[in-house]
Amino acid sequence: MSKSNGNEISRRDFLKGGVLGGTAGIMSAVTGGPAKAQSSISGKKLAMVIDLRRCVGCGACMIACKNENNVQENVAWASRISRTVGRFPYPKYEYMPTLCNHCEKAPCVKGCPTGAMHKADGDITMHSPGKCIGCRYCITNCPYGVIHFNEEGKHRFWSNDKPLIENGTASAREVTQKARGRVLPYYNPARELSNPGTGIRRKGIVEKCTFCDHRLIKGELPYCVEACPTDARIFGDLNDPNSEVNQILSKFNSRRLKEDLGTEPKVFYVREFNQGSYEKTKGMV
Amino acid sequence: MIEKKSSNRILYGWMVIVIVGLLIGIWGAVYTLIRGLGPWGVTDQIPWGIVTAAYVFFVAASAGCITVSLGHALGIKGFELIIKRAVFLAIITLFAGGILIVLHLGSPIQAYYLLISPNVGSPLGWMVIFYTLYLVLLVIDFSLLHKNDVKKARVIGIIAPLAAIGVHSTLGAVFGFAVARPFYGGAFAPVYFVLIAIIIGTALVLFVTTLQFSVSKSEMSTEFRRVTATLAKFLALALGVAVLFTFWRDVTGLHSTVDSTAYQHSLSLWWYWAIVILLGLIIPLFLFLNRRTRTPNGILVGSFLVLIGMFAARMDYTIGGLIEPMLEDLKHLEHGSPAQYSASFAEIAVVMLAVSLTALLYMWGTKKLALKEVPHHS
Repeated sequence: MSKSNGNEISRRDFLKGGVLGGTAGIMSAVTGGPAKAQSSISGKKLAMVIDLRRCVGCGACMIACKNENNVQENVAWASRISRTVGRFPYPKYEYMPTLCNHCEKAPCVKGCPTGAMHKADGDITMHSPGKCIGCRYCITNCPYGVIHFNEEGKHRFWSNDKPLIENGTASAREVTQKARGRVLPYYNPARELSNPGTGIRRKGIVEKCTFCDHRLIKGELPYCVEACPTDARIFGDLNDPNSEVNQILSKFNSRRLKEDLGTEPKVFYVREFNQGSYEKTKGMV
Repeated sequence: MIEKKSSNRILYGWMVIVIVGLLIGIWGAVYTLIRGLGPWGVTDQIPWGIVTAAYVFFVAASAGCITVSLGHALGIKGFELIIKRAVFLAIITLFAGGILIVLHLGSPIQAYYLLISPNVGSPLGWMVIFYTLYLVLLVIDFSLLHKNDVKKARVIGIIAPLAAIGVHSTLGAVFGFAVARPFYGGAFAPVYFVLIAIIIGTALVLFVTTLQFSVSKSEMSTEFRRVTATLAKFLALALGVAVLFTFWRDVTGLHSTVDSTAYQHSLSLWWYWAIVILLGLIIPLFLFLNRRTRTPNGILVGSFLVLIGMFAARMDYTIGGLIEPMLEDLKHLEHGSPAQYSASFAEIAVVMLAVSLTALLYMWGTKKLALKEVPHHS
């Protein structure tokens, strides 16, 4: 992409295309969505629409999230609701991907005693690990159960003394010592970009979905959106009347989880996972 | 002589129990500080467990001292006999509660952010402010009482209860603000918490006072009998209100328009009925209402039952509100429905630390600070 520009500007500068006249249009054409053209997220109200009709329930979003953010087992920043309702011979399977709703009126933000949980650029509900005291009030307060407490430090694998191949490879513990503790899987260099010092996911604090802000500031999409094989996740700015999310929300009835609580979630669901049909009748007794 | 010997034997036995409890507690605290909350029974679905419940209990015990404090400040006769021990109890239970809440934090080392980066909208932040204020007022109050400066102590005795109501009603708000969990009682939680504080605090003062007389096998004076009976009658009134609260909470929970999982779970537990309702509310209520059982021994038994029942009730309240997973899938993924919690040994040890530390500090206070001394009325 940067080659096609022809100017002597870095890729990073180019991705800040929003400020260059005409670049946004080119970016839109190249990437197929306005979200990618925006390098800065401040002043935006970022939201996600999940089109359940397109969703095939493959779980790629959950795996992608784990890959991108190095989330350990038993913790899922991106999860799903799945259930079978109805009885034979008419059962129905439902599937609904879930993630942090980045509520406009987020109870976790209101309750956090130190302001570690806060509203950041792009109206993202963000967590500052440096300020978190680990009181877990946000977990109690969140109506969606999407905040997790990190009980583990480094994965136990990294304190293993045994080399994979005797006299052939180093042991995991040696690798840890060489890397001065900065080892996978709980190290995420990408996170350092948006929030310096948070690359290593610390023990004793809470954590949650960040809408992949480290990708957003580079002009990329959240990784779950990127990874979705059926493009069921649409990401964009609610403040931009022309954004794809606004276009989709104008076409379909949308719903959000537990709307009655007044949290104003910013993850919308449109259409149905299961496209049912039935024969027309006048009803039955 | 023989009586003294047996009383000493009880004291030594008691000391051994307290010190063993303290040692286990210190182990629990050190273990928790080193290992973090990994070994605890708390999970993402039940983030608060027995330690949080115990914290609520200890802060309630401390804030409940307001009954004695107000009684003394208003010049009710006889309260000068117990005011000093009540204020001392309030200090040590608040201190023990502080240890519990610090150990309950995942990152206690970062707790200073409560001061340098406070969120004015958070009830938890306000609770910390009231907690500190109350502790300072209690220490001032006690030092004034210790110097027999009753006049000034009575002024503090009017102000301190305001801070006590502040600390425990904001603690109630911490729970009440969780909109997604109706079990916590919403807007009424802060009021409910003040009631709980009055019950636990009064019961603790009564229990400790009557226990001291019972262990030392000394006869209670008429003034002491009168003031304990007055407090017992007051406690009966508070228990009556608690019965009403509990009844309507459970009935409201079972009403069709509320998600009733948490309520039904409570009502299905044998110990909810046996310990919280019967032992903790009904039996002491009758013991305190009946003139024949409103004796020092009756009050000793009744107040002990109230303390046991109220601790169980804090467990039921704190954990009961959390058992319902917030999203449907979690029920199927990790736990049965509702979510399960069982306290780990480390958590129980931490609670033991608070209990034994309170007992030890009180024994020290009785020996060194002359808690029986009667400050003169001006």
